[in-house]
Amino acid sequence: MSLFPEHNSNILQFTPFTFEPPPVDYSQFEGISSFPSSTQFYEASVITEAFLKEDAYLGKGKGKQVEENDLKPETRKQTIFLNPLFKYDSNFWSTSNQSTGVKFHPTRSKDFACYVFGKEPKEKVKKESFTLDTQIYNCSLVHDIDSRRVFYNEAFSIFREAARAPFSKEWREKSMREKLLCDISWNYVNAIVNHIKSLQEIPIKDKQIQNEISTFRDMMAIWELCRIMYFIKSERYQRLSTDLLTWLNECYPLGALTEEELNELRDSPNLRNTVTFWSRLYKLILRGLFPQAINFLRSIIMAVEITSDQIINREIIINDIIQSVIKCIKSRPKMSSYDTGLAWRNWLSQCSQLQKSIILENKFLEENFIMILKILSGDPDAILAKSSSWLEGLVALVYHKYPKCETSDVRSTLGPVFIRFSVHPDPTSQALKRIFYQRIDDALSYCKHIDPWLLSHLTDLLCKTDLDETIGGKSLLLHQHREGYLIKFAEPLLTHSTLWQVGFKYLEHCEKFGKVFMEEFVGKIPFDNERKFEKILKICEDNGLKFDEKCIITTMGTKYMQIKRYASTIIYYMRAGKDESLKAICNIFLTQYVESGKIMFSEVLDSIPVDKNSNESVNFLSRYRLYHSLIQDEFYVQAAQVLVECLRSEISPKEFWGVLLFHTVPLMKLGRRKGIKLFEKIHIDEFIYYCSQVLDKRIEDSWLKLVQRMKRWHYKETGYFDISEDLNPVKIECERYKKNLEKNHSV
Amino acid sequence: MSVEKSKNFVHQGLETHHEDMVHDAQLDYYGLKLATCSSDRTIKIFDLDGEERREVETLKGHEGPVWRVDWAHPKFGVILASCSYDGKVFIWKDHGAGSWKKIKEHTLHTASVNSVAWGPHELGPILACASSDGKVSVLTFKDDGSWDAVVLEAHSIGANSVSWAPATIPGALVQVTGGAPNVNVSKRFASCGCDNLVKIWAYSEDTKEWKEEGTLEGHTDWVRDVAWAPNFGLPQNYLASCSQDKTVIIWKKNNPNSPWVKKFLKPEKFLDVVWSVSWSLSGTILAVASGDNKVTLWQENLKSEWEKVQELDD
Amino acid sequence: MDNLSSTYDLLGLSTKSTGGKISKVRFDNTKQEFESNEVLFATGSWDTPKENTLLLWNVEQVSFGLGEQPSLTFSVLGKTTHEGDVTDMRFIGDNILLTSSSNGSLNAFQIINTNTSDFMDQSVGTSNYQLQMIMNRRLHSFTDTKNASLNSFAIKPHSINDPLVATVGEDGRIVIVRIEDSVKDHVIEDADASSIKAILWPRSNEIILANGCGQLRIFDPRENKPTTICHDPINIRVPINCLAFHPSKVHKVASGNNKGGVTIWDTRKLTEPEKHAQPHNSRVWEVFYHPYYQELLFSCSEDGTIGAVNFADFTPTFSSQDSMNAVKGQNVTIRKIGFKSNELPINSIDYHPHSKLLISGGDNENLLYTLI
Repeated sequence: MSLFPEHNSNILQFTPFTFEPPPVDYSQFEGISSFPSSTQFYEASVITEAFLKEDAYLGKGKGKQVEENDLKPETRKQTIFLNPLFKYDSNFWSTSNQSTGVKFHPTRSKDFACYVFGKEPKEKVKKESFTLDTQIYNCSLVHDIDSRRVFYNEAFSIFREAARAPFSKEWREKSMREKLLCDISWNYVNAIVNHIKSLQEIPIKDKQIQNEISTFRDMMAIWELCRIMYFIKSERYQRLSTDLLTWLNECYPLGALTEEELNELRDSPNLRNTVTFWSRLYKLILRGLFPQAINFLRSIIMAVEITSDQIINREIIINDIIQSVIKCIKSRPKMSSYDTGLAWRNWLSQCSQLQKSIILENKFLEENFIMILKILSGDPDAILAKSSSWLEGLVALVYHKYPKCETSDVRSTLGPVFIRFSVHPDPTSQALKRIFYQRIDDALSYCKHIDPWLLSHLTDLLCKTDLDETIGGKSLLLHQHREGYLIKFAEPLLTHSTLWQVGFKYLEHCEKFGKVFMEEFVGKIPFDNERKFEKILKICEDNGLKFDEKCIITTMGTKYMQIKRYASTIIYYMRAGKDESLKAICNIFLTQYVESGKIMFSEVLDSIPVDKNSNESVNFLSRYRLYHSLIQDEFYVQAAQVLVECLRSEISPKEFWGVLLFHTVPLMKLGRRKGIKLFEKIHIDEFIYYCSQVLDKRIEDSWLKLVQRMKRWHYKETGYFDISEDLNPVKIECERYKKNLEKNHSV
Repeated sequence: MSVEKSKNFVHQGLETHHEDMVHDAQLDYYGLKLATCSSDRTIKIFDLDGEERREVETLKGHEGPVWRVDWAHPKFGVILASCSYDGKVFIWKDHGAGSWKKIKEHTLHTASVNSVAWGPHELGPILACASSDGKVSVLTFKDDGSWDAVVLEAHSIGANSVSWAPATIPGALVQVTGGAPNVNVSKRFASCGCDNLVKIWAYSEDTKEWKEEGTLEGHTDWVRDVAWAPNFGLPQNYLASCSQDKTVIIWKKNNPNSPWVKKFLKPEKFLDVVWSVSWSLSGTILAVASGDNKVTLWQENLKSEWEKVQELDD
Repeated sequence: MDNLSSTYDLLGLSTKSTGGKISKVRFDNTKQEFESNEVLFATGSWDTPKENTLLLWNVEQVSFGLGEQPSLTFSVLGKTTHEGDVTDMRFIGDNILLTSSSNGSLNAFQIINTNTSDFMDQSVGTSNYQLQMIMNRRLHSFTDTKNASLNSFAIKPHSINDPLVATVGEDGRIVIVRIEDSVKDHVIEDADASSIKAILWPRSNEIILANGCGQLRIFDPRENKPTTICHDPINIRVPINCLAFHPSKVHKVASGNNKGGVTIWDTRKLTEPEKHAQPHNSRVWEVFYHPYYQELLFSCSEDGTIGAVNFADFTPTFSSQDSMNAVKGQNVTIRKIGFKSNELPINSIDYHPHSKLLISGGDNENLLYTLI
């Protein structure tokens, strides 16, 4: 409402128009992709779709998945006020002289402007029955990426490191290569963690920051899991299970006890009989958090004196059992040593013996002890029964039942997990699930809905692994998608006011389409000083964008032209090879001379060093100016030489040749008077030839105008009257000079 | 002026202070200047600097409502073209220090000029105009300051809009770089009019003539606007047209030799006349504004169907 | 010189926000070095519309023992916004930081320590400094409405108590102002018809300019016309972006050009450059001489690296107009210093001789440093 306080008296009420993303939003199609609709890319995408539909583990199509997806954080209605309101039942907009108009932003692909415009001229409209709306609304669909600047910069340098890796000597050796990739992957995760930390440091966290933190947490979970599953291969020493456990506890940590649970535990007369206590203990055991589990167990050891009291004896038995369980947990073989097979088997049999030996009157206690031992010895039913999510169940199963398993074995353990648990349809869970299944292409297609940064960078790094080999020699689609994802990520950077350089650097790694995008965007970067301009040119130079480079330099030259800074204009037009425009500037200067008789451009030319390769118009101007300064300094011989050069170059417009010819008159006179040989005979013949050229019918008109202008100042500036339309003074002087030459010659 | 900002959708209003209806709003090449034109016969220029907007100039001279404005590429200078109900096309230039001057008047049309559009900068300064006199004209500006005007008989009753094709030759993945930019560039534009047709015009370098290259039939009422999509050097060409018949048609040409294939943006009609269409920078999103005060954004999906991405709706 | 033979790769502070892409880094060299362990420097940003920032930093060195690299702790002491890109910067006495902007203005900021605690040393990391603007004067513009970037400024030698500052910009003018006095400005209107990129003021009667057309111009500040104009015939019309003093020889000047070259000039003989080397393949943004090894020239460039050129072994090759390869500097040792796989430009470098610390900053929004 606040937008139109002045219209409050109007009969029409202002109803908000809303921007509401449809429930299916971006996820169903290629996204609000900035990528060109090339058949090639579509074909690739279609294959991905087909892939998904075959997904036996899902048992349902992708469409369903998306429908279930209610986790989209951004479904808030946005309100835009257009004036007046539209009502379906009224014909107001149809019959009024108004309609909405829309225009996309010229440099930002997700911004556009809306406005209300008139359909007919007011001359044609009888009634003025409308509410005037003269506003232009600028709408933007993009998220602000500014807050990610530090992260993007850091991630970019890791990206570059990854791009360089294949050229290093370590790359040739497989184990070294794996280590290199692992390090790079670790650096990415570190960058993500750093960003999460910096977000958490922000004192006031609005919803946007909360969302950002959760997105980055998802990114961390996915990336770390990929690192564990795909990047670490050799020299693992059966570490997968512990790695997964660490991952789970890092990315999906066991939450603290709730207030309620704490109260329950606090108020409980006997923890041994408290359900909450045991369920917490199960969690600790499942997640391999043994020190904490041991502390928990210790807390229920009852201090008793040894008597013959039966009850107390019972307590002692229980205490003994607790001690045995603690001992059992403590003696669990570490999975980091080479030869754990035997130790493991020994330990398992100890576990099962202990399990069999527990017989208690208190069945509740007995059950719980046995359950803990079952979990420890890897009983799948026990593990899954006590897990509260598929991730917890899966990781606990791997850790307790298959502690020595390899990446490729993980998928065979998944069956029972998914019988018991369903996976939440949010993209992160779906992606994680597919990473466990080693269906990396599918996993990535879910990453699409998480964040373009994750998608592009993870794909890029995965492309550098021998993943195809590892998972059955199947050719992976990610190689085909890599470039598309990178471009999609980089496009918003290209038009970002600060991150544009990074954006273009990314395009350098897109062999197929990178250059096309660069060409389309590089000219769109605004610049208002020379430093930024030079930086834009560097991008053109680095990527061979010759045409765009010239175009940008021309724009700079034109900007200077507009404010009449001709030296800068000339320098830039020379750089851009704009010979025609230089000629035009040259003509402006010559016209100035013709108008005023003064060389107004000498300071401009002072700033422009010329050599023989310089543009001919500029060279001519420079020579012509030299002529004037030589005359001024009374170096007549040199001045005459330069004048001849100027004429012979035939660069100036033809009518200006006449001016040059006029210049010869005083020199010829001077030569005759003082007996200096300023011109050769051949020069004189040339002068006569040039006279005929100037008087050519085709240029007569412009010539006449020129002489008229010159007449205004010629006497005052030079002291000579000898100027006329027919060039007669020149011709006469030429004849005289020639005769004089002949005379001298014969003498 | 009021600015409303939210997390995932930002919009800002700019009060133009025109005294009558606005007809067009056009951002310059860098998106830093806005030109608007109005029934009040003026054109206003605004500097946009971040969230700051400053009105810098009001251009007066037209003797009727000004329909449309268009900015030339900055390498030609700060130049704006405008067209008006008075039948004239003006070219304006900023001579520095904010001193705007009218540098050309194009008066060959005999009725309201409804649309002007500068061609791709690769073609040099070239302007197409559409007029209610049924004609389309093309102005070519030369280095020496002179200009050529070609007037083409285009749409009976009236031509409503023009839109230029990208200068890149379709199918040439790499855009014309360096060398002579005139080789391999496409010099084409589309026009639409009251004869319910969209026409494609192409310039032949051999005959030095503009020729009608194609006529696209599909609308059943006046065609209001036409927009040629950027193609990023890919072989496909997309053209969107919208009409009084309440439909939007996407015309697609898969390669330079294949025919234009027609597809309605959506099977059912819009609720009201569709007045304007606009493509995003990368040519992947189409914005449609219809007379029912709705702006909808569309995108082609994997199955080559058009889907609504966002909607401005109540 | 031997200590240069090892490679000095830069370290980065990537996790700390540097307020945007860094366009300038400058140490505070106004304080006596033995006064405290506190080394102050400032960074300024560019291309962050409306939000360019000036940061005041402190770096503390802790040595663990002989031979060990001391560990460095960087902390931001103060922050303020800066209108326009920061194009040049210098600390002058009395805790004043002078900056220039792409919007054509010369600014002065008073550095005020707002920490009332007497135990400065213990609380350096947390002490708050305020950067309070005490001067903001728009000196360069093309027209009333169009600003011209103020590219560089220089301070008249021995005028530090009442500094006389000469500024140059894209409008081709030299403006000479006193910080405390805005009345008696001296303007040389047409010092250059193109844009002036850099300025030096080595002697009170000599100002040296570098322009966008590849020329050096020498002015007597009392005259309106240059006394000398010269250019490098091998790099004709290649813009010269920066200039630097020789630490002891007043007639020696170093410059960096737009094509990655660095040049040494003798202002007594300007017909051709004295020495030339090509440490970079693109625009050189800043050069400076090592204060002690005076044949050593540092440069930073758009190519994302820092170059260290040792001219000690320089033997001049013959130079002629025809040979493009003349004076290419095959006889100089060039060492490159870089940061990981960074390819983004490095815009500014500075060196603190007492702490042997080289800092630099550029478009990757990261403060880079190394000990040399």
